[in-house]
Amino acid sequence: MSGRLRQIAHLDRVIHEPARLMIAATLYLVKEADFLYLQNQTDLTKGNLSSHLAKLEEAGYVEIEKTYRGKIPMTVCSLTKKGRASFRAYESAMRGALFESVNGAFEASR
Amino acid sequence: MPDPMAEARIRAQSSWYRDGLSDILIGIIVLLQNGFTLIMHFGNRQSSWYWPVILAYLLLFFVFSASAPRVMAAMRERITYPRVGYSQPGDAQRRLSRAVAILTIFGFILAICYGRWDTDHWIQGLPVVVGLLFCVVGMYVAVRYGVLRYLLIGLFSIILGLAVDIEHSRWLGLEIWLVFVGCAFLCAGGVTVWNFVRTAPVSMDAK
Repeated sequence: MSGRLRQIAHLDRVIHEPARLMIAATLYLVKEADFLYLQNQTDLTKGNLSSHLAKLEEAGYVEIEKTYRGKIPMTVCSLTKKGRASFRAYESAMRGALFESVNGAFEASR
Repeated sequence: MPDPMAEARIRAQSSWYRDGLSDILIGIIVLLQNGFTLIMHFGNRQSSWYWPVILAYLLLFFVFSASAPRVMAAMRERITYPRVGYSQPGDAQRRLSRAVAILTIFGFILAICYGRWDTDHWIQGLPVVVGLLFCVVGMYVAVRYGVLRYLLIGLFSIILGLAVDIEHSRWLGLEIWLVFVGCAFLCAGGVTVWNFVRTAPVSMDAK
């Protein structure tokens, strides 16, 4: 087994969970976004989104700010520097491992 | 195999064009520009009010352009965010928009400095040059974000620009071009806003 494929064992498990991966990927593409935007982009329920955001916040990957737009409460979320770095590392590790495994399968089939 | 990150990026970025408010803003700016062109065309340069009117109009134009982002933010707060949520574009997107704006201004300055300065020649060629610019930007937005209406407006503006250039109608050609392109942006924006409001209901939490 190659080194790149072995990296899968060391993947960040906070980001690896599919729902959290969707949230991190969505936040990675914007500077900041509110709860409703994240809900629309990820199709998660309110409860699910809240609990996953709390886990990401606990890990120091997401910053959550409670504010108001007029009289309506608004939850603005953004990825921290640590969160961005972790997401980038996760993405490159996954890409590397998948590339390797696809190449391996191709070589084996020849 | 499609890249999920690229797809997510396109989905996030296309959502910024979904409400059509930016089209309306561009349409208003183009029509205001036409007001300026009308004053320059029909105003008597020997008259004592000519330059004060030009300066007042320019001031109004720049005040509107400078306050446009705040007006847009207020409109989005009422129309867009309660429906699809709030998001702020990333730094890469902002840098790209700034680079395009700076390159355009720089291009115009270079053209003025090194080109032959002939007012008629410039007025004649402006619809084609700006039409081409709109077409390129429209193509980019259509290919990258999947927003087709900018490409249609871009194609319309280059075709109209070529038509008025061939007609050699100078000021009148520029005015026709500005009115039609401004109205095209306003119509596209109006239809998009109407569709957006109709198809995306206000979230229960935002009520």
